[in-house]
Amino acid sequence: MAEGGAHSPLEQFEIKGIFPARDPGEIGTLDFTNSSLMMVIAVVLISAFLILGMRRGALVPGRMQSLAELSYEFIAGLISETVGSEGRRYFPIIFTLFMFILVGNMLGMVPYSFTFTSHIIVTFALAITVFTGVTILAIAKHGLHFFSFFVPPGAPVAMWPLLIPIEVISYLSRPISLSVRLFANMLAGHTLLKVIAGFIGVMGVFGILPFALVVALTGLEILIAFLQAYVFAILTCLYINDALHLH
Amino acid sequence: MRIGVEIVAALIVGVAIGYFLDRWLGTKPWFLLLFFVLGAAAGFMNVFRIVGGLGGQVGYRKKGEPSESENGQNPAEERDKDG
Repeated sequence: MAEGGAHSPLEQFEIKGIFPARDPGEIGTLDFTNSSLMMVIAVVLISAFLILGMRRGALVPGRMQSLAELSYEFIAGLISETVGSEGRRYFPIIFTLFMFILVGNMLGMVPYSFTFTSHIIVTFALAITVFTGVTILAIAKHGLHFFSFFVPPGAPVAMWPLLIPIEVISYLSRPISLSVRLFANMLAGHTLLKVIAGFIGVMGVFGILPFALVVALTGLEILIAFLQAYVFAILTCLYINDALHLH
Repeated sequence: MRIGVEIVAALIVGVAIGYFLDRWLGTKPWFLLLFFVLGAAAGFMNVFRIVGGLGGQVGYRKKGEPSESENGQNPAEERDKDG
């Protein structure tokens, strides 16, 4: 990867085994990698944040408790806005997804760490879980009536042979667009940061310009890290809403 | 960003369905071509729904809402919360 001291901007996405016990340099399916380590750290951080934040449960919340309550109310508000009161039941999964992606994105902003949401396999696993769950939910709730979902309301019967395949493709593209959106945003942002940071040393005194840009982009990346977690959560809500109400 | 992803995702699904139908039935290019076009149509339809303020994707309309107005620009239904 390193050529003449310069690091590749893509080096940050490399998956490495943490315990190189067997086959050094080769990643097996059961290896504990840096990606798995960051996921564990994210889960531990979220659990610690919520458990320690709510430990006292004071009537007048302290700082940690305010944050924990804020994140709870944020997602609760999101659900009641998009799904309504029936959506309360799905709060745990949406809150978990939101916090996991948010903390994963934010951990990626720490220098020298690893962004697990910048790997398509991680985001696709999350998206396909949502997609499968929502489809099962819809079929369990509506039975075979679920398939009327693919018939656009108000369309003449003559158009059905054309419209139904389009609607089915549109439905099947949900997990892909959901996962690619998150993955592409994280991958592109982090690569851009590293590429521009690479100019700092090369440009000498004028390196101050790319340095200022990197500072600005870091702020933007933090915004995107939050926004993409939010988008993932809100789309999950919309899909659940679709599953509960069809059209 | 979101609009590009929408089109690409629908195209990926369309091409994948076409490719595997062709491999299964041995009708080399035909299903691939057909589903490429259908995938593109699905992608544009998704984009149309996002831009039209309907949000969501498949059949995004409440029951009982008039289905004639294809654009459904009802501010109460404004669900596109994307950045």
